[in-house]
Amino acid sequence: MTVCNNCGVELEKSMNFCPLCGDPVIKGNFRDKDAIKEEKIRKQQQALSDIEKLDQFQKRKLVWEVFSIILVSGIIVTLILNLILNHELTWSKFTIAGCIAVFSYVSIFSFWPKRIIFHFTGSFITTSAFLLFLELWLGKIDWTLSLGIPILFAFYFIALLTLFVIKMCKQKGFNLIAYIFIAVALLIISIEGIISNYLYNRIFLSWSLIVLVSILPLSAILLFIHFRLRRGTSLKKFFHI
Amino acid sequence: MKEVQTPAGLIPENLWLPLDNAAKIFPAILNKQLTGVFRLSVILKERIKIKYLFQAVSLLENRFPYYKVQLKKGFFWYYLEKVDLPISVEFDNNGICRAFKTQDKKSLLFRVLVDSKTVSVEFSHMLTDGFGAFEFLRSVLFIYFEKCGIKLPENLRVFKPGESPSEGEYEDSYNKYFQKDISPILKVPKAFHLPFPLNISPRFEVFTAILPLDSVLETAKTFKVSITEYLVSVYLFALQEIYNEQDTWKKSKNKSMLRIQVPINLRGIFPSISMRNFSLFVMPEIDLRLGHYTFEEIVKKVYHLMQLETDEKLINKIITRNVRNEKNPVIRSTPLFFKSLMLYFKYYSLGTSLYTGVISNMGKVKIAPEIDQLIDYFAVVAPPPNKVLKVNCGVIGFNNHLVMSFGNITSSKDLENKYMSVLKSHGIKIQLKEL
Repeated sequence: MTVCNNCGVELEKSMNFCPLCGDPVIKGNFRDKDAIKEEKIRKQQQALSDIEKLDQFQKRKLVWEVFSIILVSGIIVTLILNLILNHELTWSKFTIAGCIAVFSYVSIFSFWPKRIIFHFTGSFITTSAFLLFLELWLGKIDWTLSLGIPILFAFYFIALLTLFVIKMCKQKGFNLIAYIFIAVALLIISIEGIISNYLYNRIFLSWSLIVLVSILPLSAILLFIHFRLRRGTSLKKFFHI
Repeated sequence: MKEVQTPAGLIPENLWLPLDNAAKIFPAILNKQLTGVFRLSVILKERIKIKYLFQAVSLLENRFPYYKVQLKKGFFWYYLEKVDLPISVEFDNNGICRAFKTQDKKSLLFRVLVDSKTVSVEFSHMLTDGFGAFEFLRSVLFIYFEKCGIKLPENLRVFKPGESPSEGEYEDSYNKYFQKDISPILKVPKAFHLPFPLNISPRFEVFTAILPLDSVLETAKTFKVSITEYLVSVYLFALQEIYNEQDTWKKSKNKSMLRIQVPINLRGIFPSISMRNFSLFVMPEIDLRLGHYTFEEIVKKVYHLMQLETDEKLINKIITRNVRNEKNPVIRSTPLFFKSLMLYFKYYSLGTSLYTGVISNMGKVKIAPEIDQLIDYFAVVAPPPNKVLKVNCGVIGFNNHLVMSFGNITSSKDLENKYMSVLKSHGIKIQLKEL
């Protein structure tokens, strides 16, 4: 008689693995369950590399440290090169600002809470600050407050809304494409509205409406295909009362 | 595509079933902790020969088509739809009464679990009750032992592979025995609930005790009641002690009605062969505002209430009350989302709040003398109780073993301890087991 060391069921002599729990058969060496569990844990721990032993926070911290070293090195190198070549701070302003923005993104994603809303908020604030900082450095603030930041806000808000809708979907298929299309149409309308407000001090929509009219029927067809034809759902079952 | 809702004879090509009356509440209330999954286990005397068990389950793949379904969401109601997935046989190392994946994720709503000498089946209550689960397990055991070379009687009534399920097995018997013109039942006051703090997640723990059946029967006989009536009385007596241990302020704040929900298999009352849910419950009670009850007084009250409430006409009335709601045109035409919200609130406001505990006794079971001698005992674990109820109990008898499994989501074992103390005081020996 052969007995599985892990789950304790009786196996056929010809079996090399237990068909119930998948454990390899050690013939003629039946041990108690606790000893086997302990050995399993020990083997698993041995197999782990140093990186695998780190928890999620330690892993994120490691990634952040690597990025920090790369970005600081980039800032120093471009700064020195710019000073040697031009004897003043010119083009390196942009690379430094870019590196600082990337550093902010990496820090947000590494250390902020896992919730996507925090990531989006942090990313929006960083990008807005980056744009503001660039314009300030170039002389005066012109388009950032009335054009750049509102468009950014529309982008982040619609993206967050779309992600939320996608997350709520139980079945993912054509409906996701339809939702993304609708989100793109909304973003385009927002962009035109913000631009017209910047240029003419009033909201005026023209080309974005054409985009919307083209996209909506397409999305409707995709949604119909998804909900009507999903896994052959019949109306009789779906609407039984 | 051929649509078959009410099958006859052969396995329908595209089977789908509306949820039965007892199952309708579950999709609205289930979550990771409140799983609505119950377990029935058989503990054999020898280790399971895994090859034969796999063969037995495999042979029964098509015998129970009404269980090979998944839960789907309709516009007005949830429904069960046939799914081509094999019955899952798993190593039992993942916790008791785990939730099934539901709602559009491909998964059956029952599983077979194996560990050394134990075979367990876990069913979602959306599919069936203890009777259906037992019949399934019984069929598995029959084929398993046949494969092991045990000579079994030909005429034993079990579900065999190759047979076609009869129409009656699919039946929603609640609907069949529903009578239109019966007066509604009066409202009952809310009941006392255990004041214990909840466990940290995962909360559910099971405490199992094995009692000598002859000794319990003898004790019940001295009080001139059945085993179920005796066990319910012990439950109420233990609850009374817990109630009395509360301080005055808590006593005045908490309800003083102790009420136990006791499910009864309606197949013993109506001629149904349905393999889906067909049970109801009676609720014996004591009102502590009337004073302290002695054990004898409790037994007397439980006996009379149980006799009264298991009357066929009264049972008809309860079925009618339950099914009447389901047939109401306004409720039927309410979209599922709103209906689920209503059911969720109704479950906590009108359902659970009415009783203090649950004791589900499957009675004494047997399969065949040739098989029974190879079995040590059976055990049944009721679905994890909710945050209001906190503790429930499953009971099953086999040979001379009466196995009681208390499901508990609190950090206190006070009820179990008090229950066992009462049994001990009646001279019943108790053996505790880890399930």
